[in-house]
Amino acid sequence: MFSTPVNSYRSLNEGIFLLSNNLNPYTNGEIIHHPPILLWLFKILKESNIEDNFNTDLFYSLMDLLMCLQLIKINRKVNGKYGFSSLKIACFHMFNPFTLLTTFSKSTHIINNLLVISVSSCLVQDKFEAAIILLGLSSYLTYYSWYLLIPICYYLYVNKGISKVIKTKILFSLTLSVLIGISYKLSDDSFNFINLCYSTILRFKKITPNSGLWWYFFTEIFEFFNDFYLAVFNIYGLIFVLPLSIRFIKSNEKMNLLFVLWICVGLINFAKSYPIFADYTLFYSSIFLFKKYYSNLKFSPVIDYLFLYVVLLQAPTFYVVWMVLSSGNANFFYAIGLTLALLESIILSDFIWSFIQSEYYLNHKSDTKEDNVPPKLTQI
Amino acid sequence: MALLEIVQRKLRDQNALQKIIRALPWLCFLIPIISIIMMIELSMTGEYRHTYFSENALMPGQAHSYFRESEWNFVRGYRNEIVNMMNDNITTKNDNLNKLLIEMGYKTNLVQFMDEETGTEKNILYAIYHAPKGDDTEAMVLATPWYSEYEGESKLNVGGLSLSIGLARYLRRLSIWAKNVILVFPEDGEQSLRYWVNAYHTTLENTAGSLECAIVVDCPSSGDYIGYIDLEYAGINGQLPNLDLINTAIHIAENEGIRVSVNNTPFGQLWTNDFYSRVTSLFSGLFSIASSGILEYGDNKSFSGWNVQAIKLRGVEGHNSDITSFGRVIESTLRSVNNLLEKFHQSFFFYLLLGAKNFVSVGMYLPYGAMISIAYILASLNSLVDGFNASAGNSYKDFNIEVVKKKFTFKFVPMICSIITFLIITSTFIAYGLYTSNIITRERIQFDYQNLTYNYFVIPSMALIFIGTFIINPLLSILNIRIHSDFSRSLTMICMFFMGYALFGMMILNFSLSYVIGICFSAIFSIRYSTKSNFELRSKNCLVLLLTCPATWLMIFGSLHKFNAHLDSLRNLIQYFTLPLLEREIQKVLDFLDETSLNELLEGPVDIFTGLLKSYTRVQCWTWLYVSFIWIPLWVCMLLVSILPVYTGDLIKQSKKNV
Repeated sequence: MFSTPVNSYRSLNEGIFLLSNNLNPYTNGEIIHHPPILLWLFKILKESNIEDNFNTDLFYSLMDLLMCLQLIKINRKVNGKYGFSSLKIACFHMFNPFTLLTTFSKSTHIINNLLVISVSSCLVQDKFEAAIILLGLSSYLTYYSWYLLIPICYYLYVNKGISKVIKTKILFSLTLSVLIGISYKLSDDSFNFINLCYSTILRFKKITPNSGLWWYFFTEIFEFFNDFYLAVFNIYGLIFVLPLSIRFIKSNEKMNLLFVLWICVGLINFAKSYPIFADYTLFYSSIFLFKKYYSNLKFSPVIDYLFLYVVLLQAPTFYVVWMVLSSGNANFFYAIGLTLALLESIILSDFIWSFIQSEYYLNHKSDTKEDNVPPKLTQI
Repeated sequence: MALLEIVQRKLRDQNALQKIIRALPWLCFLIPIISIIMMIELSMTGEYRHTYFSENALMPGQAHSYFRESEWNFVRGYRNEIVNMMNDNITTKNDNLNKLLIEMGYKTNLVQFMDEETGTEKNILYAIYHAPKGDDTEAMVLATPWYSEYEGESKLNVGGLSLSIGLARYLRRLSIWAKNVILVFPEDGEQSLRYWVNAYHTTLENTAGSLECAIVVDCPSSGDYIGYIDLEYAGINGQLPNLDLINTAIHIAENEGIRVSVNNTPFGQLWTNDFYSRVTSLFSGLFSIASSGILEYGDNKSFSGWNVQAIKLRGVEGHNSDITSFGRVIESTLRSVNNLLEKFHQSFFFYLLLGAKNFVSVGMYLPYGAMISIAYILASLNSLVDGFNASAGNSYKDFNIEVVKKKFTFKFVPMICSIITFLIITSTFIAYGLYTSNIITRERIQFDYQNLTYNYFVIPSMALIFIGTFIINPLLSILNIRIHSDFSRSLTMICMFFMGYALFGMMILNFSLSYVIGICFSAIFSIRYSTKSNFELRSKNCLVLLLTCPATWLMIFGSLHKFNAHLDSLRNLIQYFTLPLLEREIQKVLDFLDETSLNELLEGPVDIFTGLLKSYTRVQCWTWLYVSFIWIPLWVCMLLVSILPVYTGDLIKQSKKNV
């Protein structure tokens, strides 16, 4: 729930222990699945100790705080005075149980969250180069972030033409190659880390139960279909990104780009191999940026949240029934994962529909002028 | 989607939402009643199922069992031995038994431990037969306590012991075992056996792999014959053994011609299988699962929490079958388990037995339990739209959607206050529950439990109800100290939602407990708060609070326990209702009241309360924790709601202006 092999704090500690004993975890062994630069960063932070020190606590709190500040910045820039006040955004983020739990669990995924939010923040402020570099860093850390490059490129293509897109892509690949080059040097001139970090994510090599949808299909009984499932899941996450970009990004409206990015984050959440709570932090904290679309929603975010917590709090019960009492089985726990994914997809489709509606109202303003009640849309 | 759209429009045309909202209070009452009716309906033909074997490998009763006449002589001989050393102390007894077992070829071990509760030292003897054929990773346990407790009396388990020793000799000579056999002879089936099970999984050096099943044998009679077998299966915290194991034991026993009683069915009802007997069995099973760990926490319950499928077979005195057929049941069951290739995983772990051969599976009864928690969610919704409290300002006449929509908003300050109140009360009682649950181990003081029950639990709650509703409430009204109605409204809403949620969470783990508590608390739906509180409202609130108070139910269950009430006599009364029968039953109750003094009757609740407090330290039973985390704080919150007089904001006026 809070940590998976690819972003667990404990395995990071193991890596640090190995490093401080002059063993490089990337040349042999399959313990650590964190990117090398991250490991070295933490090694410096923790001064080669395994025990937590002041630095790590400070680091995680700082990550959280910065994320909150970036959210406020985006909110101010995009929504102006129509959105929630900065204080509310800060409260929503800081007192969100997801955020608290993520910070306490010290999953390294929180760094990625900050990066993605910063990318959006940079985009809103028209700092495309910075955004692309941050996106490169984020992709380096968690792989999936490169999906977000597609909407950004499309946005640039619509507004600034093809040459800018090519420049962006070059910048992105340059960032990645520099990062991978450093990692190559750090892990004693071996490319094994690519296998450990990214191939694990793509091929789902370490099967552990988590809140996602993948693990159930990779249990021993379905071994025959493994390749098929791998293809389906990997394609599923990617396939919606381009159509969504084409549909929603039509002008230089920043909100649209932000919306597409957010939808993509949501899609990645349930199509990714090792989802954790930290993913939900990013997704559910950003909900509050889109106050504009609340009026057309079928279910208000309050109800969504209520359901979410009810479902999530059931998860430990089912886990206990399966693992401790062994009177239940894996289906019990997987059911929770399914419900979570269902909830998220409901929220996503609800927001998309609401977005389309408000777009329609904006384009057909003249129709509704006579009586102030806009027509109820069922189909567009 | 189009169909949904049509339905939605239809509903809107019919003004359905308004009607539903108006019906909410009634729905809240109706749903628990429907749920109980549906539970009863489960016993009707077509609803329940016959038990069957899911696991093919078990093959119960397929092999011929040789535990017959010649072994009977050995059993008699061992019985003489046991009767001879009846008056020796437990150390001598264990030493003698130890010699016997070593002679038979067992590896034996003596464990001594300190019983924390009584402060005495106790002995446990256990013997292992490492099966030469097996891979030494799995074991079956045959546990026979020296003294068995039944209805408050401690008796030397003569029949059970002689049978187990006879079986020990016999089992050792069979060559079929693929799993190890462990024989345990604890001093009693409660603390000692629990200690052994815990120690086996943690500290003991001589072990024989994971425990696949455990059978506890209990037969205090010293005769050659038994009447029937009483099977106990309920574990702690709603854990049940796999239904396959129970089926195996029952199937084999019936093959041997012994009837099996489950859920305390009396001998006379063992041959009947009609609607009434099934209902009785269903509810007495439900209660025994819900209350397990409180008064009865030994024998098969000792194995709870370690993934061991455990049952207890008690041979009840009678003249139907000889004691070796009881032995054959045990032997054959062990043989069936021995056949297993994997651990028990087929069949059901969640079920309710309606008799030895009938059951209801989880899919059938869970919806009716979920109905209870839905009722609480509806009550929460209802307090959101304020349907209960017609007197708080809006009468039903001008009750329309616009008003309801206004109601979705809360005044900020009262709402925050109510959340804080709820958190404070809940956390206080969580601390209280944690403090009281391990009261024995922390402080080695002998408590006066009578004092603890009445002076610290029952009397204060009663006093709170009466003083609260009849003194504080009028006083505050007169002094005109009022709170905003939104406070009461949101507090009720939070409480109801929390209750519904907690019941639902518990339902998966311990259905029976969640169901019983849900029903006991369900009268709370009729709590009202009002601007104009009068005597009628106060007495109504008082009655509701009394009905939902944990202390009241403690008294009720306690007295019933002392009275030795059996659901079966109620069944008898209803099924064959005649006036003389009713008179006889009433006479029985009167006789009982005549015989027992009030003090004796008052001991019932004390027993239960003591059991509740000790159950966590004894067997990690959560019942008391659950009650003090959920039931008591919510009850206190609702007490607060009913005590504090309210004033309404100008919500209604505003909404009228807008309309």
